[in-house]
Amino acid sequence: MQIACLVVDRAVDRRGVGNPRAWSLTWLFVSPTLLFAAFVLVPLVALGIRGWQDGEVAGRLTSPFALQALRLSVVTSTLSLALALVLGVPAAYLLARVRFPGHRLLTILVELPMVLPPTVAGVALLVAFGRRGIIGSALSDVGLELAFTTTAVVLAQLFVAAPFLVRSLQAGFEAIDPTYEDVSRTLGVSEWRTFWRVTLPLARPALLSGAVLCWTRALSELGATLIFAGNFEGRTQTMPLAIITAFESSAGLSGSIALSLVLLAVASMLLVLVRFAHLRPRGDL
Amino acid sequence: MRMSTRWWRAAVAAFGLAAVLVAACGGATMPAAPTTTTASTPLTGTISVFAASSLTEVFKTIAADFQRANPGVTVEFNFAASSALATQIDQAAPADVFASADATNMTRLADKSQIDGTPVTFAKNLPVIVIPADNKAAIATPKDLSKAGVKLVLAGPDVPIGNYARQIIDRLAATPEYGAAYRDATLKNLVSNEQNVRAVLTKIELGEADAGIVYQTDALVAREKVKTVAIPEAANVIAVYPIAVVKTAKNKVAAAAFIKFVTGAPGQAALKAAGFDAAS
Repeated sequence: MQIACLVVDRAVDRRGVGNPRAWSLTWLFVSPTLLFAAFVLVPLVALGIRGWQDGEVAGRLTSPFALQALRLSVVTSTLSLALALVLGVPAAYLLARVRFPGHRLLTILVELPMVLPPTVAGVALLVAFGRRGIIGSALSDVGLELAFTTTAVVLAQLFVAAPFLVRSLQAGFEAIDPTYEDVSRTLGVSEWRTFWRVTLPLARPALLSGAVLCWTRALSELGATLIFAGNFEGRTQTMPLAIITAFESSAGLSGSIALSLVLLAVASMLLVLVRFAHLRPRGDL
Repeated sequence: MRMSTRWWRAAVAAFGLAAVLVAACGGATMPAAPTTTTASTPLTGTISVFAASSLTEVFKTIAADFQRANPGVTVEFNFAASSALATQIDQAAPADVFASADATNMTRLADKSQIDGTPVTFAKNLPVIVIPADNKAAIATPKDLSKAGVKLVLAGPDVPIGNYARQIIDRLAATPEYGAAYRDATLKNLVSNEQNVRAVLTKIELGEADAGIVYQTDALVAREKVKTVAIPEAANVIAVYPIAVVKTAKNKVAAAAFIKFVTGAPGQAALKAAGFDAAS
């Protein structure tokens, strides 16, 4: 309601007290916003309420089944993020700073997995890296098999999540005035050091938000993993797979509520952490 | 201003494209207009049938025949693992008929008074081992499932075929010929617990795994891509398929008529043709 008052105050300021048009305009924005907030909040609160009421949920929160899936989820999504950073930061910088033939095509290509249903990604990965895949069959001949391994989980996550990092970071790099970098270079600082000491710190907000999006997307990956990596406890069964497995088992809803609550807590914690890190005053920059 | 016009144009184009796609796909789902009436009191409306994955093809065939006989009725399907369907019905999913691939999941609902009347067994099925046509892992008998390095795929333990498969492995391990070590070695080869029987079949069709356990009817559906290895009769379990009207069904009359059709001559003929065994 505080927000509503704030918006109303502004409208009143601009248009004069008691202007009926200002009021209607305000509610035109406030009502949908409140509705939207409620729409997002209600299911999450319902999850909490049902978890509280259902006696089985508390016990399942810390079951070995849940903890094992959580551990695998954290490990694989962190690995995916690390790989995305290694490959994505240079890619984003290149796309932001250098214009080359095929630049637009490459930009679209990088973003493609974002609009692709993850199940499509899973099938695509399977026909590429599966045992009989275009590349997978050659790997299989030398004894390297990806399907049903934790590596496959990471690959699936990387495929669907990395574009979120690249996209955010590319926009971040593009927003930086090249003058800063030019000044740094004219002062005799090497290209490499300039990137690390000037460009990257300036792009920090974009890097941070891109990394969070990438990490959470990897954490929530289901479709591609299910198809490409299979579903096995401790090896490929991440939290989202454990949730769907619990839902379809005799544990039914109680099991999936418990796991969902765990994942919800982890994801929210991360989001809050990043928001706070974001707001902290940063001295020199 | 020019920018905003462009945005509008893009938005209109996007919605236009969506509308075209809907129109293009819409034709297939339009219910056929009723033409003739056969029964004295013609059945009408829609029934939602929640059926085990293994019934996918045969139930579509049966439903087509049923709709031809009752032009006023539209049959809609939800195919998934019986365990998943039971959870959905338990959470008040709008189902009229539930056809399970085992008694366990039917009982799970019946115990909660979510089933109308007594479930009727309408078919039986036999689990088999499926292997990719090229059989690179050289699997010839169930014993080979325990060989080191074999990639075995089963459905999850609550999915009927996953449950049956584990029973079979236990029964084999109980024979002196296989021994208790067989169970551990075989389960050690398990690489994935799939969501339903068809997901297991797909993994074998693709050659991603070396062996899986599905129903003989599934192996028949994919006979060009997979081969089967029989399970010794003494160790095998027989899958029993019960069907029932769901308590909260909106169209109980048509639901009951569909079940009668499945258990009657037309349904039984289609099931037999698909490789299912008769209920009794």
